[in-house]
Parts: sequence; C-alpha cells; structure tokens
Amino acid sequence: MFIDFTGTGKFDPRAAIAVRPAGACKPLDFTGRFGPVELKVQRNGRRYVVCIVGEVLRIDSQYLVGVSLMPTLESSCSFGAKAHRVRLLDVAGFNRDRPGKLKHRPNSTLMLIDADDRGFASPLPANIGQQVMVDGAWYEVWADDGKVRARAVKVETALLSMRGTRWDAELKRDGNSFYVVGGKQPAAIPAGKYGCEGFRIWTADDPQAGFALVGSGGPKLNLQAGKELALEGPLPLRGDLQAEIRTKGVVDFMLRLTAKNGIGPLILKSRGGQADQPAPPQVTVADESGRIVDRATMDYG
Amino acid sequence: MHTWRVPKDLKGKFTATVQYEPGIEIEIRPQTFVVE
Repeated sequence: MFIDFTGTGKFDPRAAIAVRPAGACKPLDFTGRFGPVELKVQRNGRRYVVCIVGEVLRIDSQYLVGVSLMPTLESSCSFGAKAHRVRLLDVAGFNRDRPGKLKHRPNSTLMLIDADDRGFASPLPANIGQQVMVDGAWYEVWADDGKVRARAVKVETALLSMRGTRWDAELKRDGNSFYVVGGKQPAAIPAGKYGCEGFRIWTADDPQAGFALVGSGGPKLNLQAGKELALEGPLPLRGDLQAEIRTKGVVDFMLRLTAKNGIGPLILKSRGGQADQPAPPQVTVADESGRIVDRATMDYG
Repeated sequence: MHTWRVPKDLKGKFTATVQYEPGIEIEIRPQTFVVE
C-alpha cells in the first residue's frame, strides 16, 4: 500500500507499507492491518518521528482504509548510570503548538522504553506519568523541550501475576493511570490499591494466535509491598445465559462471559481482530416436556 | 443476543441452553424461566 503524505498525488514506491491479511467474515471479504510504521517528519527545522497504524477493509469490492497517526517523541534518557532510548507515542493527537512538549495526559500518551537496547524489539510500555521500573529501580519519566528525562523515585514494589497467560491492564490509582503488562514473569507495580479500567488476556503466548479476552472494569486490587498478588488463570470461562422478559411475550437472551477468576464481562477476539470472531452461539429453548420451541443463532453485540 | 417472540398459546416453564464452541473452554449452564 502507498500513502501520499505530500498532498501532491505522487506515490513514492520506496515508501510502501506492507498490509498483513487478518482474515475476514461476511460482509467483509478482506481485512488487513499495517503498521506501526515510522515516518520522519520535518517541522520548523526539527525532525520528528510519526508512527502510523491502520486497517484496510474490502466490502463489496470497495476498499476502505483507516489510518491513525501517532506523533512520537524519541530521545535517549538516563536511568541512573545507564541510558536507554525512550519513545513517547501521543495516541490522542498532536500538540500542534508545541510539538516537542508532550504533557501527562492519562490514557493518551504511551511511552516505550528500549530497556534491553534491542531497537524497540520488545520495549517496556507504560503510560507517561506513571512510575516505571527500569534496570531494577523505579523512575518517573517526562518530556521537556524535546527531551525525555527520568528521575529516580522511592517506591515500594508489589507484584501482580496471572498464571500461564499474557495480559495487560489499565489500572488507576489516585487519578493516575498505570499501564501494566504481565506474562510468564509477574509485573512489578508500585504497591497500593488500584481500580481496573480495562484489560486484555491472551489465551496463547503469541498475540496473533488463540484469543484475546477483552473487558472493561475489573476487580479492585490491593497490592502490598513485597508481596505477589497471583490471580487465577481465566480459563475455563463461565457463560451466564440471561433470559429477560422485556415485555409480555418477548424474551431477550444474552450470554455474558466472565473469567474463572471473576473478572469480566469479557468479549472474545480471535487473532486480535473483530472480523475473526468465532461462530456465534446457538440458543435452544425447550418446554417442560423437552419439546424444542425455539432455536436461533445469537447476534454479537 | 437473541429475541424470542413467544407464540400466543405458549405458557409455562422453559429451559434455554446454549451451544457455543469458539475454541476455548466455556462452561454455560442452562437457564430456566417462566412465561405467564
């Protein structure tokens, strides 16, 4: 795929972006994703990196392309005696007036720390403004005049784990958002009481395989200093079928999924895409004699 | 979600069951309800 960012209508073949097919189901006959791809942008004599992600859909032989731009700020940052590259992604938009100044805006700015110095191959993600553990010590990270800076802070460490699964969560404490990722190793997080704003749980190590269980809300977490809070794994899921008599003679059936550890409600996303949702549930209604009086396919949503 | 419009002559206790096999283990219990 080619995108012209110059507005001249000239598509440079050297700037091709690979689209990865992501499966499809009716009415879509193709979905594909691209990015994150880095673009280097010159503005007022300074160079910035912009990350681009998007999706291509084909429906009835027509293509629809959705593109999201995430302005970034990247610089080297000292964490104690060691320096690592840090990239800030402004996922909510660009501060046009002061492009080098990314403010702390919860849920809008994500930072990626190249903590293992492998060119952001497996960066440590966090929200800007939250304390983050790098090389075994806690830091606060912020951006100032186009530079990313960090200072050491004294924080008591707690651990959060969910056995056998890869997961991430948006936790909240005292108005601050904490983006936390866990997997085979528990996640280190400042001790305290947190609410859960949202989470994803993968049923396989590879996010492109298995299912992502996605939910909003979640349990309150009391993470104590020096202790690990180990949540049960999510499987098997529990499905609560609800039959609600809306008005006389009309019954609404809903299936609500929760994880074994109680967090939910959940929706299932296979391979991370809505287009790949599994075949929907079939509901059967029987009277007291066992005679089937209704059989239908449920709709998602 | 599914909406069932109950035929006029049907009343009593009913049991709804769900078949759902997305490829991961899910425990779904039947649900009983009464239409008056």
